Amino acid sequence: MNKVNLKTNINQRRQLKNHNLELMLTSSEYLLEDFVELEAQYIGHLAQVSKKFDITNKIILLNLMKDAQSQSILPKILTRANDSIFRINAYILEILNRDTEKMIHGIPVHNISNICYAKETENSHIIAVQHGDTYQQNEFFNVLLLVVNSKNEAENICQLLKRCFEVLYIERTMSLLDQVVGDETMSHCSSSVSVVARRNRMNRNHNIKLKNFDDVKSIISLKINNSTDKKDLKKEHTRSESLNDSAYETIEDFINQLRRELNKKEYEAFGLALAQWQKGEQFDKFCMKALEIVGYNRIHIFIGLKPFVPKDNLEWFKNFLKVNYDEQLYSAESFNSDSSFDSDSIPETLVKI
Amino acid sequence: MSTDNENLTIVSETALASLILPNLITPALDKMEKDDVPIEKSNIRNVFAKVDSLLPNFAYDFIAELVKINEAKNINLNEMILRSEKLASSDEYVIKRPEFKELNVRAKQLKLILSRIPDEINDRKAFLETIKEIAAAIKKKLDAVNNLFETMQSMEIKQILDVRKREFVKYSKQFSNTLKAFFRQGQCDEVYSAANCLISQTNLILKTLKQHCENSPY
Repeated sequence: MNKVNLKTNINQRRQLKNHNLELMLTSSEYLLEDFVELEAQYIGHLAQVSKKFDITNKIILLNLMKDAQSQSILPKILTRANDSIFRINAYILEILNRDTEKMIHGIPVHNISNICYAKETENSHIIAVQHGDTYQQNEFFNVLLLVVNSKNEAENICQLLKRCFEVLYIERTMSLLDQVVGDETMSHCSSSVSVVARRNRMNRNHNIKLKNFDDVKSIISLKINNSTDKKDLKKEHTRSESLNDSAYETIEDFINQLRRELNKKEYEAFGLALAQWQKGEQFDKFCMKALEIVGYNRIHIFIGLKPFVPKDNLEWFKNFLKVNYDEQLYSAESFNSDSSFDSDSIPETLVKI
Repeated sequence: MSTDNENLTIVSETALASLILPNLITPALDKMEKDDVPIEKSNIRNVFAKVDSLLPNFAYDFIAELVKINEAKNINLNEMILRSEKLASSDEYVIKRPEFKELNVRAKQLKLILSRIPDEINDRKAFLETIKEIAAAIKKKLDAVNNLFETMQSMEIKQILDVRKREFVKYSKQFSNTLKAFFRQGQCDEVYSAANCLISQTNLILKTLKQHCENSPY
């Protein structure tokens, strides 16, 4: 390639983002979240090149360029206007004008199928980036052509692109795995069965007693007063020795379940219903109100309420669930052990929701 | 108070311990039998099984000691156990009821794909393809478990299965996080250990269901 280097004012150009290139290359986080910039001269772009041309072959590539030059598709002489920034991260390769930084090309990394390097002369090292829409099943591809001054610069570009492709491929593969696992975690049916299962396990194995009303209150208040910080909870935990781990787990489970399954408005309404119950409203009225808020499709939430139900209301509560709960999910077994508050008072612990 | 790392080590060791008998000792005894080595195989197997149930981790300690004696051979126990999944005695983890056919098949497929990890971990492209296969196998196995929820009548078994399934999902997440760390730092042993945990959880699901379903209506 014939190059005309106009040295004027190039000192005013900003420093490109490529300091510590080695570190950038090794850090997948960097390539996913930021980008790397290198100097290159943009020769041009060849669209719709037949797949019968193997551009990894140096002679074929140079002939292809020569033909394009003779047809004025590619310039014969490069000027300062061809100076460009090769900017890349794991997702996209961009070619920008070096001075105006106007984007000339933006190619998604997943659309790049090959990168080829051909040494033309001592100071002209051609880089051809073969790309195309991966969904297109046609017989053509596109080629982006760049030139750099040294073999080292060419190798940096090739290495960078290879690394970006690898990082993207890893990221997509891991997303696939996370998606499989994540979908299952979000499975609604499973969570409702699990609530019953967890209660049963706790009731049977740990025989929890949520006796200390004040302790429960302080824990719930702590959590509600914007403190979801585990450290705070642990601090409180240490202070309140009268509640065992399972009791804490029960409270935390229930609050988290409410947060997870109710929207903000429903969450507040649920808290209000609890407050009215605490102020003297009948337990059955509270349950009816709560049922209106959560709806029949989320009635499994009531299972989590069970440890907080006063003893006198327990029988009524069982029947309420039996009548309303889908038999597929309901388990009478979860009520066989006594794990409710010994206190007959209303669980004001939950009121501050 | 134990740290998360200590807990993780305990979990990894427990998973490893649960795989020693089916993956190493029983196949070794099977081979001895095939080679006509005069040995009362069933006796040795029973002794190992009994001692292991009385002294949890006995088989693990036994093998770990053997590994220590052969220190010069530089044996990686996690890698060895993972590779040996191909040889694992299968009867213990096959539920002989037609309703569980799908789960048996999917569980075996997942375990076999995981056991290929040591062969492919150093070939980036092949390993990424294997991870895709693992993701698909995890999905199919979870689908098979979910299908059982629909066909099972016993609420008790459903609950037990749900707990086991959640544990399996938890270890799948851990496996995924370990892989991400591997791509950053390149520590193979952590990946082998996480894969062994996933195999151990898969076995636990099968074993639990076998205990509860094989001899009783479900």
